[in-house]
Amino acid sequence: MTDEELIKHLIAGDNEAFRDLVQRYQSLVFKSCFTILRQQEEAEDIAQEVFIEVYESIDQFKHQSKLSTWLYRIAINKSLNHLRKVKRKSLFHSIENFFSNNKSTELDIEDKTTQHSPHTIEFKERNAVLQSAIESLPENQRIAFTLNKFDELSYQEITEIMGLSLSSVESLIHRAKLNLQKKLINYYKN
Amino acid sequence: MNCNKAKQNLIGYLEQTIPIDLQDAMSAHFSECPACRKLYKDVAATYNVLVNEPVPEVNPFFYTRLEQKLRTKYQPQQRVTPRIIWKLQPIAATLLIIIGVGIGIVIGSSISGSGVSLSKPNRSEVLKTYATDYNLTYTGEESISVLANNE
Repeated sequence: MTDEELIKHLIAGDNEAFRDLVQRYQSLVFKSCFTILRQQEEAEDIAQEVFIEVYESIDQFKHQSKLSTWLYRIAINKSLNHLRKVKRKSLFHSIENFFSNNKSTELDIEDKTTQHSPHTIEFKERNAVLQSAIESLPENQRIAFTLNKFDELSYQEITEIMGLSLSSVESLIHRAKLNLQKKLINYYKN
Repeated sequence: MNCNKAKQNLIGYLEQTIPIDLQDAMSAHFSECPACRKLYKDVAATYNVLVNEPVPEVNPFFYTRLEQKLRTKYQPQQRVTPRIIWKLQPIAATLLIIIGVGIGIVIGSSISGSGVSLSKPNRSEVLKTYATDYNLTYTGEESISVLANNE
């Protein structure tokens, strides 16, 4: 069944079509959530929210882009919104910890960056450094860069997902790389 | 090639996106400068984590959980009695009891009010039977009661 046919069946309320859609795109959606959130459980929760939104608003799909592009867009928006919520919460906790003289926030960050990788301590350390550098990038640069590097999407696909021109995407990824380079050099120079 | 120029192009060198002559110049610089060589190795090893980092597999129960979430979301909600109704229930019960008692009093008084007229024929019947049993002439309640008293 093609994506077009799948969408028609979904609009008609066919639950089997929904199952097919989930099975076809769950990896893509989960991966794009994971590249932003870096937490397996959170990524899974958000990926499920993406499919719930698709289930509820499939009739709003305009057919102007590919289904996968639409899914990417929802996944990224939802992941970013979730990340903002988490950051607001962690800011609140930091303030709370500051007043209660609790140092657990620092440990939380360390756990977050290291818990997924089954590799060596050195790999974990490098991963933590890289993730920290990526997280410190401006949002648009971070999205463009992660879509390109983690999801291995072409610049053209990224333009469709982010709704930007090709030159803007090129510029975002170029600046992201320069920023990362700068941050890594600063880290290893010290 | 100096160290600053080399540092500016580390990722370009790593990804081989810079011109070949610049790549060659950087290679030559790294062979001469141990500090830049070490820095490049560190940056490259960290940057390559991007390629080597494993992405976890999707949970095999992903669809089952999603289905469960959807079912919960679209299940008809149980009707919840509003708190105000819950609080008013004892008051309503008390009022019902008061109204019931009131209605009972009204009905009771109307029955007892009409009781005289209802009981009168019965009483006359009893007196008539009484008079017949004792071979007396029934002339009314008064005479019977007098007779009864005289007896």
